[in-house]
Amino acid sequence: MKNLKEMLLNGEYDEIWNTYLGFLDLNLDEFMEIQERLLLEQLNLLSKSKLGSRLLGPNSINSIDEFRRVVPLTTYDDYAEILLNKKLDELPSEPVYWVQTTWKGGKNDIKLAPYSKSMVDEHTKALLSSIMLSTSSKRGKFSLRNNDKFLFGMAPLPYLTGFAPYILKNEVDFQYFPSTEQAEKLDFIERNKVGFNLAIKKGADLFFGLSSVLVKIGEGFSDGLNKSKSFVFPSNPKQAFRLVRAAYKKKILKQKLMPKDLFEFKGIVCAGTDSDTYKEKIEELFGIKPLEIYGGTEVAAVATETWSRNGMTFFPDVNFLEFISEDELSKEKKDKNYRPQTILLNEIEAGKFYELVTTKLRGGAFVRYRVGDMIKCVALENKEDKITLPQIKFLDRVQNIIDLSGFTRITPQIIGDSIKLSNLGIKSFTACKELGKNRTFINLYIEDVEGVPKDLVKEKINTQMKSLDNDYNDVHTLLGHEPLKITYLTKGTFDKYKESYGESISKINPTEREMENLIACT
Amino acid sequence: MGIITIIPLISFILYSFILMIILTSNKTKLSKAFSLYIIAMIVWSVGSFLMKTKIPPSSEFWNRILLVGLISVPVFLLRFSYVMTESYHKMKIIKFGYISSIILIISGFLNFVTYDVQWVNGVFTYKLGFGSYIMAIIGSSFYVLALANIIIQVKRNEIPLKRVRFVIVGLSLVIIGALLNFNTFIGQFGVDIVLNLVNALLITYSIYRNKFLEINLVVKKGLSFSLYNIILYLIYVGVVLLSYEVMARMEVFNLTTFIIIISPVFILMEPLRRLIQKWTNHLFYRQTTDRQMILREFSKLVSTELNLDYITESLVGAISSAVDTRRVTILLKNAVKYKFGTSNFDVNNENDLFIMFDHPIVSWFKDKHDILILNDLSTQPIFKGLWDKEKAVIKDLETELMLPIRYLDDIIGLVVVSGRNDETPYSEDEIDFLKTIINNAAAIIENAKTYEIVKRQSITDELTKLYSHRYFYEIARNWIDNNVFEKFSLAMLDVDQFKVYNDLYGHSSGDIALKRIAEILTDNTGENDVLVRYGGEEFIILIPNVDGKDSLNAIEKIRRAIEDKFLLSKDIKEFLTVSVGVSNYPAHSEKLEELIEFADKAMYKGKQSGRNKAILYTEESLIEDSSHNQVQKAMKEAYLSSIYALAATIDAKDHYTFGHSNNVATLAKELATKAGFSAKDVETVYNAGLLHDIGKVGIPETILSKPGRLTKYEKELMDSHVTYSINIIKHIPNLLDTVPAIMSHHEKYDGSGYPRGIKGDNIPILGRCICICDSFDAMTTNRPYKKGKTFEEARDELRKYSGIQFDPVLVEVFIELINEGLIDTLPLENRLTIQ
Repeated sequence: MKNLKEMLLNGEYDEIWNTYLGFLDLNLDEFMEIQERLLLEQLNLLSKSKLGSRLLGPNSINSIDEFRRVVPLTTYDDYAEILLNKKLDELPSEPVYWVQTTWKGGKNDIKLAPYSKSMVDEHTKALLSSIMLSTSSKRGKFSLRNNDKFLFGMAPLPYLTGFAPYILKNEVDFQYFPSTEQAEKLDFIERNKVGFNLAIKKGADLFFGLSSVLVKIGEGFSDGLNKSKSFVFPSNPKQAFRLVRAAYKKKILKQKLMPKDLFEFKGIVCAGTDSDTYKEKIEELFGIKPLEIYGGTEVAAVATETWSRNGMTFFPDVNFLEFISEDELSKEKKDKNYRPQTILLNEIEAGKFYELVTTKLRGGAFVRYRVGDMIKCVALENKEDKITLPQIKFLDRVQNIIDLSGFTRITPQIIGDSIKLSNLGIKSFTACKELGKNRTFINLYIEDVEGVPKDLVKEKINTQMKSLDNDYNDVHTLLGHEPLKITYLTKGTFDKYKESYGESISKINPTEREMENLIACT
Repeated sequence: MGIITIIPLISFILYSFILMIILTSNKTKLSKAFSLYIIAMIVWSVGSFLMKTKIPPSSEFWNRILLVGLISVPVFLLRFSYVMTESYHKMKIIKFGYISSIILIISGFLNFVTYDVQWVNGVFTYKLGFGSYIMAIIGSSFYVLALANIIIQVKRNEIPLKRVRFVIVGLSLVIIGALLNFNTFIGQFGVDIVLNLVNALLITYSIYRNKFLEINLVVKKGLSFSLYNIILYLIYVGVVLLSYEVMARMEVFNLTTFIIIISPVFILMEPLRRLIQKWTNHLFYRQTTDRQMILREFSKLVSTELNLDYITESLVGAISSAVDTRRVTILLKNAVKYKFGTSNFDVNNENDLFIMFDHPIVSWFKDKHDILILNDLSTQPIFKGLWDKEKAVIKDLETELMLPIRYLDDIIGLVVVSGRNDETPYSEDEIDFLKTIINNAAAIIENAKTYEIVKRQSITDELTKLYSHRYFYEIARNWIDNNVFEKFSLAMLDVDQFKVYNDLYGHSSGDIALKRIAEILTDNTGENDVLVRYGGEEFIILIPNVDGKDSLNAIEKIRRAIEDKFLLSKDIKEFLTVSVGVSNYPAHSEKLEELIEFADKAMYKGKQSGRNKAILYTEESLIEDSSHNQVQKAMKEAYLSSIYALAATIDAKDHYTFGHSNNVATLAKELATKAGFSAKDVETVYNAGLLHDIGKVGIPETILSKPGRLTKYEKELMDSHVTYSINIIKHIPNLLDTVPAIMSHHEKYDGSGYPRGIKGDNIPILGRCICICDSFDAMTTNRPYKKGKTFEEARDELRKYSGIQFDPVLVEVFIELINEGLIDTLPLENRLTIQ
């Protein structure tokens, strides 16, 4: 089979669209048929592995119903021993990559996920689908080409986005700014600097990264550009024209320059929690609306927005998808032993919220895995884009952590320890995530600390949090963002709450009702 | 008419030729763009030709027509370049080109480009106006842009050089031609027209070569005919003129003499004429002719054929030669899948190439598609559900095209065609040919399949689908008589305890077991091995080219596979094993009957030595050995001792029913003897009595000795002791005989018992026997919470439930035993005082 590069060379644009984005033409029944077939393949692979026999039990499973009835829901704890020790002989297929992420609140600092060759192929295709869609304005049309200039916004290896340039190489030639070899040797700030200098010279077509990082890069570039007095010689007439235009804007009109003044991106793909918050800012900085892709280390690419950027469509061949409704989640919250029931994609309803449960296809390790993400089904179809599959929106991580900027996961433990280490005598707290304009914050509700100014309280807690959590520290150093907010409550508020409602308020992400009640107690 | 006039005329003819090819081919954006360029060139060449003649209205008018072509050619060439590279975003330049061309054409008619145009005495003269310079600048720029666009795309790897190299050469020539026009001397010869002509030919070739266009057959024939006649005409004219010249020099001017001399030359040229015809045919429609011939030959060859192998091989051969492909594979439908090879019958092999019925490719064809191109697998979302294993099969088959073999509404097979030897894509003509030949083959294949099924049915056993007893003799005799193999092994395989299995689970379960064994044999034997259902539960396997230990190893593998699937399976009901005897040709005998006899003896030996064995025939191995018998006896005793110990354990565990197993065994032995059972059955029922509750070792003691009524859960647990018993006993070969009796001792005569709820005579008779004795002993035994019944009370109970719980005939026999006082004489434990 031809790869994207060859197809682009031959100008087979219709074939390319169908190959990478043909799944958007599927109806729900066809989608489910693919899901079922690939689940049976996965069960077949699992049944031959030690991990599989442990999860599936001794008897062979031959249908989706049986699978959902017999196999329990899992979390990373169920895989930690095998995956963290890279026990290859227990896996259903041989991994070619091990992708890493942080494991906040887990038994270990990191989580590892194995990627088989087949999984990598599917993930590459899914990623290319999104990149292609980001350059598309209508069905069948896209402007992605060989040798497009790709501005490096990805994380380093072995994080998931860091794999992008390596796996995309097999499919298409992009010019990375900086090149992958150079990028490996540079830190985040240097890499951005080199990348942008190259982009100023040659222009840039594509950009991909976590939304928060894209904003940071854009802002950093904007600042640098406005202060810089150096001259960059353009390598092509088009870029020369843009540079002249930018110089006119800066010198004559005395206006602030932004990346969009120098580049004409074909497409920008963003990912991560809070993407919604950052999209507007990304568009303001880079001149085009980014396209969101939803995925994660354990699940790879899950869903993508389409050209209308109005809801995401699931990829049919990357994960087998199940959903836990809010009702089931609340039953589980009340009774820890309750085993929540799942529903399938053809059963979800518009306007409702669900926790995602995935089974990795193509030889993956995770089975009925609770990745910890909440999604909302925004519609059962995308009329604008003529897609007849359910459209979703990625909301956030599940309720026991606060995810900032897509790479920082704050647990109640970190906040509690930081408060303790600050020696401020704070006994109770509750923290929730707040969306500001283009930014996300942690709003920490504590009772008034008498005799200590609020700023000092904030500084002390912030310092401790930064020392306890590197990622939280990176939010400050890499993104230059101060995410902590302190809200004082009157003395005795938490005790009063407990008295009134018979239980303490949740330490993290309290519900709206809980917050209303808390405020009423103050 | 000089060269200056002839060049545009020849160009005009060839351009018309090209235009005809383009217009009669499939319409694409590219062909349309190319047609416009050719039309402009035709206008140019017509104008150029006519302005050098005296054809009215005037040379000046035809010069203006020439200008229309000359001005529009660069625009259309640039347009072609953009369409070819799909640079549609640059079409703004083309719009500019259209506008400037219209202005220049109007300028041309207003004498701003050329004036004083004249054709006088064979000399063409004209003067250039200022518009000609603008035209030259714009035209040259457009030529350069057209070339630069393609070169840039190649440089950026957006279009392969291989695809556009001839276009690049052609465009370069056009630019050179345009530049040469600045020299008015060279300009008058129309070099630019010649170079444009070369360009057009190169583009035509490039388009044809890359299969952008498909020339239809009628046009091909026309073109072929025209070209043939043109070449022939030119050669004949050449020969005549040359001969005339030669003879003129020889001063032969007489026409008659000339004709007499020249005529034989034309006859001698006949081979040359044929060569030209062959060459033109080769150029245009050689493959079409070849394919038609292949199709005819194939149809002739297989029309009366019933040999499936021959038909499929012929089909493969015909397709391979007709479309010059590397590989053709035919997958034929059998009962469960589309499988490589010609057999209607399924042989399971992991490495086999097959496509299951639920394969998306099958759905694709069921969905009325008549071809699958490799590209469809990646572009059609229906194939996203393909398994990696399925993708590997498609890859292994080197699939480029796949076509269904349809017969009526059924897809009876699939034809998989790989890429061509020269790596070029298949043309529509070739695909049409494939569809036709496959369509022609479908009914023949279906007939042959039906014939093979009928033929196969006549030589196979219906249940197991293995070869029949009769066919076995046919094959084996052939092997021996014709010395087909230098050596081979004959294995006689008999299913152990099959009668017990049948008694226990019924004959339909027995049939299923035999089918499963046949499948295991199939899975564990090679393609050349012959599998036979010899009769009942006996099978024969002929394994070519092995002897000695190798033959035993091959058979041992089969024995183990059956053991794994039955005795060692998780299903407690399964206890079957096989005993196998092996004899070798010619080592043991060269006579078939003797080979069978020796294998049979070896198999019997295996049975005697504890079953579940594979024994190689040797004379020594069959000698009755007293020490061996003693070992056997000791083994059996050891088995029994263990069983007695287990029975004692259970009795010890359930203190109040101590001795129950012994009592049941004793009573059952007495009842069986009284009922006239054979000595073997009496022994079996005694052992079954001892072991019937052995499964209770798996039941918690609290439940076993619980006074009062058991809860529903406890009852279920207690009832499961029957299956536990079987699970223990099935691993002790010598005691397998007891399984039916133990398994059914809680079945009730009216069918309300457990575990299977069978009734009447379906309950094994020894089980019915144990049932009576078990109940009688339970009734008459003292328990801590209840005193035992008297024998008379028990007798009344037996009579009361006769025909409901108990076998009425056996109950009467047992009552006779009570009435005769024989029970009183038995050494039963835990009895009340005998009254």
